[in-house]
Amino acid sequence: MMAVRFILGLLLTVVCLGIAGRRLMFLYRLGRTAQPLQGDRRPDTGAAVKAELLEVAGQRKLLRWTVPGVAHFAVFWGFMVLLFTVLEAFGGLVNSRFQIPFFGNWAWFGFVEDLFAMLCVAAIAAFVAIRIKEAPAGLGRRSRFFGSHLGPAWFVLFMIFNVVWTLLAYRGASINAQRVNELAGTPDAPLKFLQGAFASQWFASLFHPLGESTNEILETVLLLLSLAVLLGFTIFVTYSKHLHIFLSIPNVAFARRPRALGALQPVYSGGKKVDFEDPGDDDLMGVGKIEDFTWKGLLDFGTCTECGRCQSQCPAWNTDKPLSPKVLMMTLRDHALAKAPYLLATKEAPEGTEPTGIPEAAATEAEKPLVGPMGDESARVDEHGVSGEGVVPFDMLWSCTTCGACVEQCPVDIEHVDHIVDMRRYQVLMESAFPEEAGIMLRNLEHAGDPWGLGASMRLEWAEPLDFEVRVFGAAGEDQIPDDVDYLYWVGCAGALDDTAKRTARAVATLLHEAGVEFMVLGEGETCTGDPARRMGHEFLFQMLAMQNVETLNEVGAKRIVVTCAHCYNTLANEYPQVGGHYEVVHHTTLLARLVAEKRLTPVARVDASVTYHDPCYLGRHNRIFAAPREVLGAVPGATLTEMPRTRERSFCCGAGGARMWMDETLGTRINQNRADEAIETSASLVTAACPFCITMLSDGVAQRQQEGRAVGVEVTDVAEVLLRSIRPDLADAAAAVPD
Amino acid sequence: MTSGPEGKDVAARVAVRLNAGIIPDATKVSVDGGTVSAVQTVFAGRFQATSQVLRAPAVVTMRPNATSAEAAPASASVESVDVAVSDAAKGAKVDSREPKVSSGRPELTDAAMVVAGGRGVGSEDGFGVIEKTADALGAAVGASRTVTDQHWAPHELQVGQTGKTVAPSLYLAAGISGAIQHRAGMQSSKTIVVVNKDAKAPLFQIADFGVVGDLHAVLPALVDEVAKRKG
Ligand SMILES: Cc1cc2nc3c(=O)[nH]c(=O)nc-3n(C[C@H](O)[C@H](O)[C@H](O)COP(=O)(O)OP(=O)(O)OC[C@H]3O[C@@H](n4cnc5c(N)ncnc54)[C@H](O)[C@@H]3O)c2cc1C
Ligand code: SF4
Ligand code: SF4
Repeated sequence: MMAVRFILGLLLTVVCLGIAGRRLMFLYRLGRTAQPLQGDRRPDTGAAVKAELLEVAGQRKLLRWTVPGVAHFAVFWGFMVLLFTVLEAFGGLVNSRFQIPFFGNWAWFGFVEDLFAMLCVAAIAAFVAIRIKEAPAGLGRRSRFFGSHLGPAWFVLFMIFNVVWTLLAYRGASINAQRVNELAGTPDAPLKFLQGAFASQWFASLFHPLGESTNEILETVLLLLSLAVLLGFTIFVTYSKHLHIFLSIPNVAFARRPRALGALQPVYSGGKKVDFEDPGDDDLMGVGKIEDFTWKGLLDFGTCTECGRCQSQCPAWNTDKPLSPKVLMMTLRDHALAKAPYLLATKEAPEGTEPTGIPEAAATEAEKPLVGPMGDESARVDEHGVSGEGVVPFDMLWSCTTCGACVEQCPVDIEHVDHIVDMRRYQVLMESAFPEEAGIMLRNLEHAGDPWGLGASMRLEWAEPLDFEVRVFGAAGEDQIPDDVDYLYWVGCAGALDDTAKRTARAVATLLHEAGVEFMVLGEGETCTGDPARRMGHEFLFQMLAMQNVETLNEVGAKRIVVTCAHCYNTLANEYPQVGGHYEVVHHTTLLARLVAEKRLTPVARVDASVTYHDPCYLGRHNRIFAAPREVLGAVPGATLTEMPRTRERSFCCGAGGARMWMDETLGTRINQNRADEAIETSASLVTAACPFCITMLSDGVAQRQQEGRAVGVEVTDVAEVLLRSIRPDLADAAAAVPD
Repeated sequence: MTSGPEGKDVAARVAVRLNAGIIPDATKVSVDGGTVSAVQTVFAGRFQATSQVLRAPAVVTMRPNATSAEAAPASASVESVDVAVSDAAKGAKVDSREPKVSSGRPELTDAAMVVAGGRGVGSEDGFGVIEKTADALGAAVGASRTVTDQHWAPHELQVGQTGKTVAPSLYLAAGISGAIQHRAGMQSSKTIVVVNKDAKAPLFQIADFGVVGDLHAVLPALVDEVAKRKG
């Protein structure tokens, strides 16, 4: 009997692990056809270890969603402990009285093993309930599982259940066959740990009446069955979305830390940064083919668990646009796998020879452009996945606002925004293919230095109505920012040129002046930071603007900079270091909160209004500034803050990011309307934000409702203006922001 | 060539073929001796750049409406040319042509005059007054995004940052406040006339002529006056 058991078990193991191993090897070779990691991007070991502990072992991101989080936590740890049970089962192949040295003598160890196994079962029950409740069949696009592979997901749950019960049943038979209970207490009591294994004991009592010899046969049969189930499951995993149980570990280790938000990466080719002043002839400009992603990119696609957390938060998806970050990841993975034979044959063909043996299907897949053409009528994103002339439909790529909600949620640290921008880069730089309207903005940036094409001469008009003098760099003949200046005030294009944002620019200037903060502006010396160009993929233009600004800032000796725009903040603080600009950058809400805390600003006049606050993506998620704007609002007497349901890390985008501000929004419903409605729902009379683009977007949404006779008296304004009203209610700007 | 989308495309190709210098988007051209020089406005009209083409022949695209067409005395002669068309070029065939349903008005992007309406028109019917005014002047019709979002006018008529960019000789904006998103699409117009009942409307800042008043009174009066003068 033991011999049969051993030979069959060994055979099973070798064959199954062989198949799984071959698959893993294939995936590894596929990864090798991709681009190397960005040269200077090596994981910081400390941060990676911490992330593994928090995110893999601690399941931190999963636990943010309480019910599925706890269930996943249970399955994860259940499986971890189950590994001991599996080890015991393998040991059972050789010796039916095998026990793990040391632990095996303790009854409580068996108890713990069975407890975690039961936790697994309970979690599976929870997952079944979740999958039924959130089934796409009922919820359609609202379901986070819409577009996921549903069959395999159910199969996985079924298989985990099978792994657990077969192992427990085997142990039950073992208890009878080895007379664990009868011999308990005697000097040579076998498998002591099973004495405490309560679930296995239940199976044992079930099988006991069958008699000892039957139980012996049952022991072998169940052991082989449990191993077959487990090994079969392993093979299945290597062919499915469930690969995340292996891949999430390296994926988390190699992820950008602290998170893949904030700065975008420069353009890399072959692991080296592309020098835009003198690009190499063969340099890749972004991603035009699947193999132009780095291997970490492919690892991302392979790791996606199809959980749909990202999809549930995505503003594009929630307004019926053809973009779901999950579906995008799945599509890229499916394409990589379909193209794999072509890639491997081409890469591994000896130098100078034609690759051979490429299957027809792979060759066809290889011919598909990565991004489909504009106006592709066949492009579709629905429950059957993605179709169209390209792998990724044009509108899928361009619907993204780079809001980062997907990256924020992803439990396995996938870097969606980086991949989307990399694909846009190729489209813009190599193909000149992008939504036409945005071309005007690019041209304006190039010719006038601002997105609207107004030109530098208008950049000081905002300050004219102020009742004090704003110091302009160079006006007094200085060639360096004088020492008495605390901050360089970066007004930004919106602050200088857009009428509503000019009011904010004045409010901030007035408040700094009131607090005795010395500041100076560059006036005509400012140009756009380049954020919209970069997020659209026009890295070349971004580099041009960034280098020009950094040159100016370094020349004037800027050290501390205050900005009023979330996008300026992100670019100056996080991206200019990439081009040699290192400054201490503060957002106006942070500075104002500090001035209030230090009592240099004392809000006195009451502003009796209910207020709600919209977290701008580039201030909140991308830069973790959540508290300061709320502190400012909290300091204003009379103002009461009511939060929107989607707030802070889960704030819903206004629709302007990722250069979407300069593109027509004709698909689905409007993102800004969705968010404005949410703000109106709070019954707040003041809808506040801390970014000029959010304010334009929300104002537009509120104006639409007012046109329909709703949201009467609702006003959209910057946090700074609310503070201004409490400190200088006499000013016209303060009055202008009062709802009438 | 005209600096429209098609003209620019053709001009660039011609310049490459001829290995010639090209000046896009010029507002003036002059020939001095053998060299061609052209004036372009840069930095949103703040500067005028004069450039010379060093490598003849010169290809110049002209900004729409920068000059008006003039009749030149010349006699035409027919010259026959043999053109070899590659097979690849014959791959696509034009099956039928369907001319865009014409509104009988000039095309928005290259019209010499544009009359545009904003939220101030009040309704779809109200937008009719904009169309009437445009027809009286022989102008194209434009709209702010508010109007096109409301479906008071078709989407193609939207002027601004996410719509069309226009630079006519005359831009008459009625009931448009002048948000920067709208200005971005029309600020290079030569003469800007604003009709708005709110004297503080920001668009007045860039207007050459402004009328503070109800557009439903002002525009019909304008139409009558035009009709009278036309006789
Ligand atoms: C992403 C994004 C992109 C955008 N792109 C564009 C764009 O491309 N083009 C564009 O135009 N807008 C665009 N906008 C919208 C823009 O921000 C403004 O909301 C819009 O231009 C305002 O339109 P309006 O001037 O018609 O309406 P309002 O700003 O509401 O102004 C109406 C004006 O009409 C006046 N008025 C009212 N009644 C009368 C009357 N009887 N007689 C005379 N005057 C009257 C009022 O005094 C007021 O000044 C965009 C907005 C966003 C968020
Ligand atoms: S960044 Fe925002 S808009 Fe883009 S895919 Fe992610 S969630 Fe969607
Ligand atoms: S990308 Fe991340 S959040 Fe989105 S479905 Fe995949 S694993 Fe889930």
